[in-house]
Amino acid sequence: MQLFFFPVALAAFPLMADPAPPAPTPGSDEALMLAYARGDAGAFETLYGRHKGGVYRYFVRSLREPGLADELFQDVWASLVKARATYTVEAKFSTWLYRLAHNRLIDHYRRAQLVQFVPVDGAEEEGELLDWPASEAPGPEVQVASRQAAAQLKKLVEALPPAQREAFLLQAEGGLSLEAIAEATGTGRETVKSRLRYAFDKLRAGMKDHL
Amino acid sequence: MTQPEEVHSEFERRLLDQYRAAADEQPPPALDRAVLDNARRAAAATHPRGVRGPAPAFVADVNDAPRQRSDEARWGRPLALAAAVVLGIGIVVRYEMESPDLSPPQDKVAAAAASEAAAPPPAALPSAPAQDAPGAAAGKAAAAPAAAEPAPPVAGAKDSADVARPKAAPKAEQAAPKARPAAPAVAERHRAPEPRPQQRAAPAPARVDSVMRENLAREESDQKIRAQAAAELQKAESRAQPAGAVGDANAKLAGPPMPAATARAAAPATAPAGAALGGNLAQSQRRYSDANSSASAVAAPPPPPAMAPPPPPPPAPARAEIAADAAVAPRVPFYEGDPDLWARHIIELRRGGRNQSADADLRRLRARYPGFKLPAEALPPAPQ
Repeated sequence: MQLFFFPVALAAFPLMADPAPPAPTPGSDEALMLAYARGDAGAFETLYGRHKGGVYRYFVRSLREPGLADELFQDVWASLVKARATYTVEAKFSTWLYRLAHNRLIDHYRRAQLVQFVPVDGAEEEGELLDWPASEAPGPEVQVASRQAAAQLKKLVEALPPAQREAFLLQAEGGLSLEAIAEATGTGRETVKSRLRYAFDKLRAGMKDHL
Repeated sequence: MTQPEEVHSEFERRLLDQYRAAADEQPPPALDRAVLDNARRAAAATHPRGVRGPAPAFVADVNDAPRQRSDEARWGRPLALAAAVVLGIGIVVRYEMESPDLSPPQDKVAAAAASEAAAPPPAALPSAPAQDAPGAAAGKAAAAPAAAEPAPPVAGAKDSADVARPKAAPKAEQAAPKARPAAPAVAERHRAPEPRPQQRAAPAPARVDSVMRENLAREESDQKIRAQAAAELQKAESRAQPAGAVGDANAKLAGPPMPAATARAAAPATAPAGAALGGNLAQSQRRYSDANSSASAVAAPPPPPAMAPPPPPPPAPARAEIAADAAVAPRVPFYEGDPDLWARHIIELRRGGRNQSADADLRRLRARYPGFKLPAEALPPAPQ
């Protein structure tokens, strides 16, 4: 008799262990992604319009090669399309999207053997991850023109070490919080905070004449 | 873009605003089309319910939650029922395969019950009187050694060993104390191997039924022969004929198992003739002699060590009683359990000139052992 009820109990278990989750706000990124997972192509277009610029610039700043940035950008959205069936609202959509972008970028770095990421929390000295070839230091002539400030800032950002640059880009382009950046990059919150501090210090030093 | 709370200073906030104002790069239109086309193809290939993987922890539509639950309930409960049915059937089948069949089938039980109702003591009926007859003869006058103390019935012991032994053996021990040394040896020699518990438990009703039918058929044929033998014996007694005739009648009285001994007693020349037979018949001759050794002190060549001394010949009145007992209580001849012995018996009947008895035995032998190849000497003589 116990054997008879065992499969019944097994079948009834998922019904009992399914708490009702809070519904995302209609029109939010999460709701749009769920709509696309059900086959709504229009929801994806809206979602793509919201985030395509930030993700694209994330790759452009990180790679400085437009062709390569295009390839990785397309790969990220293809991964999102492929993962739509298993998408669950466990965090903000932007965090999930930039985590996909980060993973794709890391894959590229590993294949190109350009950078060795040290995913450890704690002290991360400046220059530790400076395997990326740094751009030339901004000359004094660039700082004088205010219209050239934007270009200078981009160059400064591109000149940041990869970890600091990524933390800055995730905050500036994706609008992620420290916790979201830490989750997307697989590091700790304090590490992200430290990276951001170093990045801003460098940018401040480079832009002090333009601000 | 939301402004992060972690921007520490005004300078950093201005820096971020300046960067966002300056960063205006967008993916090229070709790249947009490629991404959107890929997304549309995937959405077009998406079945409304086919994409649903594991249930998301959060759902966009409130109506999705109960619908997903109903989806799970839709397959979950039938699956549980199917699993329970398969499990139950599997347990039953495994139990049936692994448990020994201790109960006989219903048809066999019914057949056994019917046969018991028709003939109350199923197996002791033919064998118990067979044990009583020699026992009574030995107890009364210890007469007629060849007729009164035959070996235990081989055929009955073989066929109904399991059933008849418990009832027949005590009677034989009480009534025939002199035969006690010889009887166990013969009985052990002809005792069927002890069946294992499973063999004994399963086919018992069918075996009892078949043994009963065989014994009843034998009983009918033996009764006829013994009735004739008894009549002949009475005539012979009244005429006081010589011993040879008495021996012949005595052989008829004793029925099928006796003629070998009486024939040897009356005509000892048959032994050399038996030696001329083939190997098969010679072997059967030896078995036949062994079986008769406990009863026949005249013809047995070397008496076995456990054999009883030959009792004195019974007087004539005792023979009449024996004949009466034999006519009332027929028994199964021991040689009917072995076709070789039976054929040897038929041959000796023909040599003694008793072709009618030989033909009757031949018919019964053929009926009982259809595939047995008879020697030419056992067959009836060709018509001239």
